[in-house]
Amino acid sequence: MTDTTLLEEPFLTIQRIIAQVAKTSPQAVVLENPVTGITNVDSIVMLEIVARVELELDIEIDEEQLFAISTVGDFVAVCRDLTAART
Amino acid sequence: MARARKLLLISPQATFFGRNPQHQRFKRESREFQFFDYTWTGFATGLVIVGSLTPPGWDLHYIDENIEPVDFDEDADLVALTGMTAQADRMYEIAAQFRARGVPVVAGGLHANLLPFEVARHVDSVCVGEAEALWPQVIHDFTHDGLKPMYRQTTRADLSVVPRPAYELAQQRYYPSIWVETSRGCPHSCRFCAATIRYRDKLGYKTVDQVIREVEYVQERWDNPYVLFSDDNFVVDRNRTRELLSRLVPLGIKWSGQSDVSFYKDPEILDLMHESGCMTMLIGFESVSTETLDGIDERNWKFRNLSKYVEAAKTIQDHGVGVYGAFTLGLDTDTKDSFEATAQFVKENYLAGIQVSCCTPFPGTPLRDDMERENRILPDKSWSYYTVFDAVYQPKHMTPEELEEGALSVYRSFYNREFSLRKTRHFKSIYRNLVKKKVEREQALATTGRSMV
Ligand code: SF4
Repeated sequence: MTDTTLLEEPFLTIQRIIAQVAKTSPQAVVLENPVTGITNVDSIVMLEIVARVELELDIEIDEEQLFAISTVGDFVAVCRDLTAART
Repeated sequence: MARARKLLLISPQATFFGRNPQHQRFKRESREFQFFDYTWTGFATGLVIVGSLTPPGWDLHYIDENIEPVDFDEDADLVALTGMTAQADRMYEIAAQFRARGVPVVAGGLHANLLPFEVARHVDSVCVGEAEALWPQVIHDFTHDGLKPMYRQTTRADLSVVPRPAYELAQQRYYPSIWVETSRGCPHSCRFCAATIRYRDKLGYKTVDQVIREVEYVQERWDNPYVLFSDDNFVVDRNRTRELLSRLVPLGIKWSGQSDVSFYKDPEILDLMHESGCMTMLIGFESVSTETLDGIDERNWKFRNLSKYVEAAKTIQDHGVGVYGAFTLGLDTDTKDSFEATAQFVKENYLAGIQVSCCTPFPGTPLRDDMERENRILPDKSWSYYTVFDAVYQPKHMTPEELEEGALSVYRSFYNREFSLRKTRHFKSIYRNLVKKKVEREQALATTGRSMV
């Protein structure tokens, strides 16, 4: 993943939503974060994040894909593939 | 200047899941179960309360033996031990080591309340009752006239005036969840429940202001803490619950609590729970069998509410609050079919999590009296097996081993990848609906400046 990822969608949307739901600062959300390792994010909180991201990006992530996600970077990659496939 | 006295506050090591090898293997191998187990791990609340009641001039050292070893050579003037029944054997070993050095030991907590005379044989002094009502006297006697062998509470502690627990004592250790107590007691008297024996006469509450100040204090000390409200029943007084939840909303915490199903009919409480960051409620369903629930609590409340379990679980979860169902298996009406019936219920209703325990006859409970009368307590099971996941008595319609294996079979059918995928799909659709509604409300507010009702 390149540095420009950090300045582009879908990272910015994902970063904003994680920060909003997990009540943490956007700066604390980085690609290397394990998704359930971000402070205040457990698997149920993660589902709220996923539901918000799906609605904002108009995508649907299936459960197998979700289970394979372990970092914010993985999450960004899955969302990027799904948004690209949609256009 | 006089030397500060030193008090060691020790929570003894115990197994907080079945000691039997099958349970231990499952715990090692199931990622889904490990997550549940991890979330419900917190510090010894009794000890941080004792810390708050100890006057200045004492140096306090909190030791959780589940995290760090006890240094038996550590300087100490007094040792305070707490523990549930599963910790009792270890509590006695620790007491013996300190007493051999001449350091006096005081014990309190659940097991000391259930069996004070047994505990008294192992320590210098036993506290029977709430720490707030007893500890100041213990400290006074220690420093002046000498410890008495037993301290018994005569009047209930007024929780609305108790000091804030000394949370800071546990701050240096890593706990996934921070326990905060808002009330004590439960209106139900289940035949097997040891937790509420101390408070059976009356419920006690902290004021909403007190609770909010405590949560804020916890927030100052832990980065985004996950709060576990340790109350036996979080929703007994509805008006107070509504007020407390409304005041929690702006604090922005994530939290879990424990209760019965009764609040599912209160949409305001359900909405406030979600808004205030409630992730899950551990609900004591106990059983899905009419025969087993009949007579399980004094007022037969659970029996009368069984027909509402499905609707309750659905309604609560549709409001974004995951239901962790607590079940107790192995009562006299349970058969080997009870395991399958329980597994079916928890899966058909997509519960967020489960805790399935083997019914355990704790000392002092009516269930224990029955078991003793019928000579069904297993003599080879020491207190350390009273984990609630090990069978410690002879069930009526199965062997103890079949009870342990049956309880584990419910875990296995629930905590696995295949069902977790289905559960994830289910919860994702709930959250999509909730998020959609939230976004619609936000949009309506932005365009009209008025909130939709
Ligand atoms: S509902 Fe739970 S806390 Fe209350 S008496 Fe029954 S088992 Fe104990």
